[in-house]
Amino acid sequence: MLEIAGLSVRYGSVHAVREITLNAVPGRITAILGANGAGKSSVIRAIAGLVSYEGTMKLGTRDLKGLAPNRRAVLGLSCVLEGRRLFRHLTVEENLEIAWRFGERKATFSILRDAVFTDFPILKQKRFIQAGLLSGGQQQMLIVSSTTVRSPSCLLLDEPSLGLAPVIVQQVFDFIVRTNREFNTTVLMTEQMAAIALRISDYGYVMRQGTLVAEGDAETLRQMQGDGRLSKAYL
Amino acid sequence: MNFAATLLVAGLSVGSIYAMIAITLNLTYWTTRTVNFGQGSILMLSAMGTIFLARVGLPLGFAVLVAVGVAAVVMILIERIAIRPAMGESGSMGWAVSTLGVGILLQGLVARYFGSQAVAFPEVLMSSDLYLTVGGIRIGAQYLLVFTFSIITIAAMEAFLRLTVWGRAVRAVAQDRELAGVMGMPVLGIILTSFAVSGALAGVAGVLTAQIIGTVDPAFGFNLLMSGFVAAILGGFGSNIGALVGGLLIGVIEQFASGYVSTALGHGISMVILLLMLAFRPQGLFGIVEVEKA
Amino acid sequence: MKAFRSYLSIIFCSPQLLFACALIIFIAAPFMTGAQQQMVSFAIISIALAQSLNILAGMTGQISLAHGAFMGIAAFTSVILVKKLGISPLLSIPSGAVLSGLIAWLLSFPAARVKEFYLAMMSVGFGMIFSEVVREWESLTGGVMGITGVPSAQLGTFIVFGWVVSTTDYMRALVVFALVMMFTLDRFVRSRWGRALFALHVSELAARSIGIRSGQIKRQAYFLSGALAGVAGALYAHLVSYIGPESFEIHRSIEILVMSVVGGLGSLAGQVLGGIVLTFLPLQLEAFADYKFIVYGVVLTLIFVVMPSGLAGVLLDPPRFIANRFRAQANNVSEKPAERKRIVGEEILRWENLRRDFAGLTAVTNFNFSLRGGEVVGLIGPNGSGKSTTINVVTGVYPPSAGRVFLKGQDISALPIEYIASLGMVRTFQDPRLVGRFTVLENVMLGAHLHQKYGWTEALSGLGRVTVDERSALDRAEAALSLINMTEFRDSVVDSLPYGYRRLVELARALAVDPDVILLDEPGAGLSEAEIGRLKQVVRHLASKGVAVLIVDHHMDLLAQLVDYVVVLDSGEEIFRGSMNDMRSDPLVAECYLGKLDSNATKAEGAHA
Repeated sequence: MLEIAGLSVRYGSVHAVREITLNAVPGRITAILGANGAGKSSVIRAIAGLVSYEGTMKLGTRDLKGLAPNRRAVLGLSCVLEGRRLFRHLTVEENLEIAWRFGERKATFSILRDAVFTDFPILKQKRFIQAGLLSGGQQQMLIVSSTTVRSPSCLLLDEPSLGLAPVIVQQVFDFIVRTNREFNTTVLMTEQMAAIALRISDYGYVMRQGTLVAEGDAETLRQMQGDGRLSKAYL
Repeated sequence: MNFAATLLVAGLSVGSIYAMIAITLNLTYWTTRTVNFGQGSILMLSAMGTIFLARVGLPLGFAVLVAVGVAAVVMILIERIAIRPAMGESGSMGWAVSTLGVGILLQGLVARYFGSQAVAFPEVLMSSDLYLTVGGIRIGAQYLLVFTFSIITIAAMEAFLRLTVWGRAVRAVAQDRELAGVMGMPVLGIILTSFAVSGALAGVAGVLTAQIIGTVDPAFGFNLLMSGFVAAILGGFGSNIGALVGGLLIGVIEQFASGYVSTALGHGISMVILLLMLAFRPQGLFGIVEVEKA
Repeated sequence: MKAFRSYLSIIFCSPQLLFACALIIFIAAPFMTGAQQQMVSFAIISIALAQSLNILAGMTGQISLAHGAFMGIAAFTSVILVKKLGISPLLSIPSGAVLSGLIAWLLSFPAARVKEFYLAMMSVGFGMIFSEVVREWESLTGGVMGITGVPSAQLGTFIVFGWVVSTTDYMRALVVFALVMMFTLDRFVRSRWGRALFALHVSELAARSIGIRSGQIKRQAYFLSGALAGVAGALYAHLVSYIGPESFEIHRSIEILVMSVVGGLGSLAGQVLGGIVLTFLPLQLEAFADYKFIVYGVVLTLIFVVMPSGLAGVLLDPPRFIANRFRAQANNVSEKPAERKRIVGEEILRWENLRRDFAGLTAVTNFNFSLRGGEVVGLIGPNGSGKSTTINVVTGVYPPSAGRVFLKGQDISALPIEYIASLGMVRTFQDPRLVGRFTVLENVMLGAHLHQKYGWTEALSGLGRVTVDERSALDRAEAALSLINMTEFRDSVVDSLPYGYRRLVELARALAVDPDVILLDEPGAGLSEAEIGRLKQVVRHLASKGVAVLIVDHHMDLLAQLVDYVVVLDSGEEIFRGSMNDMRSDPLVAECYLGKLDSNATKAEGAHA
C-alpha cells in the first residue's frame, strides 16, 4: 500500500533520514521503532508532505511526488502527528466534523461520529467542550478518532503513546487495532516503546540515527527485545 | 447632554468602522501571522474607486460593489507580491516594510493620477442631512446606518467563523496550519480567501467612512488604519470580540476627546492609548499572553 | 564582479579617501554656488539620518518609523533655545540631541516587550503624538505655522561666540561633523558593543547566554540612535531656517527608512550611499518629485526580495567588525590571557530537588545532581523526559518551580541568563545562533564580550581600555579557534560555511567565554565524522583543564566515547546513573525506552495472529 524507497530527509545540512526503504503492507500494522533522534518523526512528516524529501513514495499506485499535504489527505492518507495536536478552540464535535468534512466522507457524519462515541463514550460526554480543555488522554482519543472519521485507507501515527497513562495507551491501541480489523486500514506507526508497538504490529523496522538497522515480523522483533539485541540497536 | 449624545453616536459609529478595520487586520494575522501595513490604502482605494466609477457613469451601488471587489483582488496581489516572498526574511521586518511600501505606492499612484486634493464622496447610503429625533436628541441618520451596517457585518463574520464548517476551517488554519493541511484542508486557498475577505471588508469600511466624512483624499486611509490598529491592540490582537470592544471604545474616546478638549487630543489620544497598552498590557483586554518555551 | 566590488570597496571605504573628499570639499567651499553648498549640506544630514536609523534597524533589528520625530524633537529644542533664550547653538544642538536620545531611550521600554511588527506601529504612533503636540503647543512651536526665521547661516543669524557663520562655514562645519561621525560610528561598529547589537538581532537568548545584557544594550542603542537623529535634525533646522510640524512627520520617517534600506541595512558605507543617492536623485531629476512616493513605494515593496542588502550588498565588499589595527597583532598571540586555575574534582554545579512545572505538566521533578570540574557527564532520556527543561532551568531561561541550583556554591536559581553566564556557566543550542554576516573570528570574539570592560563612550571615542581589551579578546578568540582546529577559517563569513562548521564555531564562541561549566545541547547532531572528531578533542581538552561538561544528546555512540558517566531521565525523573555500558544493559533503562515486554504477551483483541 505504502511503498517508500530511498527516502532521505534533510534539514539544511542535518541528514535526519538516510535513504531508507520500507513498505507498509496493505491491511497490516507496521511499526517503525527507535529511540528519539532516530529520524522516525521525519519519516512520517515526509510521508505527510510536511517536509521536502528525496526518494520515491507511492500510496497504492499513486506517486506522491510534489503533492501538498491536503492533496495527500484526499488520496486516503490520514496522520496523527507528534505532539498531541488538535484544534484546541474547536469543540470535540467540531474537531470531528471538520476532520470528516475534509476527508473522503464515505459515510454520513452522524454514523461515523456515533461510531466514535461508541468506542470512546467519554468523548460523547464532552462533545461540546473545547478540545483544549480535555485531559491528555482524552485529547489523544479525539485525535485518533479524527483520523478514523475520515475513513482513511492508510493511517499514519507518530508516537501515539507519548505521555499517556498505560490505561489510555491500551484504549487507543485497541482502537487502532479495531479500525485496522474492521476497515482493513493500513497502519504505519512510529513508536519508541517497542513492547507496546509489537503487541499490535505485524511487522516492524528499527531505525537508528537515520538508517534502518533491523527489520522483521513482530515475533522476530519480540525475540530481539527479549535477548537484549533490540536495546543494543536502540542504544 | 445633547452634545454628549451626539458625540456618543458619532463615536459608536466611527468606532464600529474601526472595529471592522481591526477585524480585517485579524483575518490576515490569523492565517499568516502578518498584518498589512498598507491597509489604509486599501480603504482609500475602494472609496476613490467608487467615486471614479460613479463619475464614469456606473450606478452608485454597482460602483461600490466593483470597488470593493477591486480591493479584494488587490489584497490577494499583496499576499503574493509583498507577503509570501518576504516571509522568513529578517523576522517580521521584511513583510512589514513590504506592505508599507505597497501602501505608499498605491497612495502615490492615486495622488499622481487623481490629484492630492480631497474629493467629494457621493452619498451612497443616504443623504447626510437626514436626522432622527430620539428622546429629544437629533442623531444623524447616517451614523445609525453605518453603525448598524458595521455591526451586522461583524456579526455575520463571527457567525461564519463559529457556525460554518469553512469558518472553522479558517480558524483551524489560524491555529495550526500544518495540522489543517494534513486534515485535508486547502490551506493556500484558505489563506488567499482570508486576504480577499480582509480586502473586501476594508473596502466596505472605506466606503462607510467616506460616507460619514464626506470627502476622500489619498492620505485618508492611514489615520483610519492607525486607529483600527489601536483598536485591535486594545481589544487583543486576533480576537474579534476584542476588535469590536476596542473599536467602539476608541471611537467614543476619540470623539469625546475631540469634542470636549480639542481636535488635536482627538487625534493623539488613541496613539497615547497605543503606547500605554504596548507598555503595560500588550495582549490587550481579551488577548492571551503567549508564554515562550525556549 | 568580485574584483570590481573589491576595487570599489578599496576606494569607497577607505579612511584616506573619506579624508581626501572632505578636504576637497573644504577647500572648494568658497567657490561653490549656494545651491551646491545646500546640496552637500543636505546630503550630509541625510547620511546622518540614515546612520541613525541603521543603528536601530540595521544593527539591532528594531524597525522604527519615528526617526522623523526624533529629528523634530531636537530641531525644535535647538531652535527654541537659540531663538527664545539666546543660548549658543554649540549648546542648543547637543541639548536637543540629548533630549531626542532620552525620549528614544524611554520608548525602548515598551519596545522591549512587544513583537517586532508592533514596534513599527508603536513608532508610527509616537510620531503622530509628536506631530499633534507640535501642532497644538503654539506658544512653543508656533503651531501649524511653525517657526520662521530660525537662526541660520542663510539668514546670517547663526552666531557662535560672536562670529556670524556664513553658509560656506556652515557647510564646512557639516563636513567636519560628517568626518567625526563616520570615524566614530566605524569605531563603534568594530567595538564589542556594535558586535553585541548584531548578536542581539540574531537571537536575544543566545546573546544573553554568553553574557550580553540584552535589555541594557537595546536601551542604549535607542539612545544613540535617537541622539544622532537629533543632531541631524538640529543641523537641518539651522540650515533651512524654517521648521514646521510637516517637516518631521511620517513622510520624513519613511524617507529615512528608504535611504537606509536602499543603502543597505547593517552597513555604514551603505548608509552613505543611500543618503547620497536619495539627496541627489530628487534634486537632479525634476520629474522625481512627482513620482517620489511611487518610487519609494516600489522600493520598499521589493527591496527585501530583490536586494536585501541594498546597494552596499551589490556594490561593495561586506563590512567587517574588528578594527584593523588590532588585527595586525592577531597572528602573534603574545600575551595570553591568564589561565584560570581550576581544580579537577571540585564541585562546580549542583542542583537539589529540582522541579519545573508547566501548566499542568511536571516536566522535571526530584532531580538532584552534582557536577565536578573535569567531569564529562551525559544526560539522556526519551522524548519528553525533561532533558531540555533541565538545561533551560539550570541556565536561567526560566526559574525552577521548586528546588535550587548552585554554581560554585552560589545560589543561581532565579538569576537572569546573562548573569549566570558571567558567573561561569555557558550553554550551546541545538541550532547555531551565530551572526551570519560575521566572520568566524568576529563571531567567536562575541564570546569574549564578557571579559572586555570598556564602555560605550570608550567604544565611540576609541580611547581608554579599548586597545587592551580588543587585543586580549582577539587572543582569546584565536585560542578558542585553534582548539576547534579552525584557525584557517577565521576570516570566512559564517553563512558560507557548512552546518557542521557552524556548530563548531558556536562551540568556539562558548569556549571564548572561558566558562567553568559548559552545557552542550545535542552537539553531535548534523556533524560529519571529522567534525565529531574535533568535538571530541575539544571536550577532552576541556575536561583536562578542569571544566565541567554536561552533554545532552541522543547519539549514544558519541556519548560513549566522551562521558565519564551518564544520567537517564524518564518522565522528568532520574532512573539511572552510571557508565554507558551499564546503562545499555540496565533493565530499567531498556524498559523506559522500549517498554515492558510481557512474557505472556497476547495481542489486543481483534489483532492479526
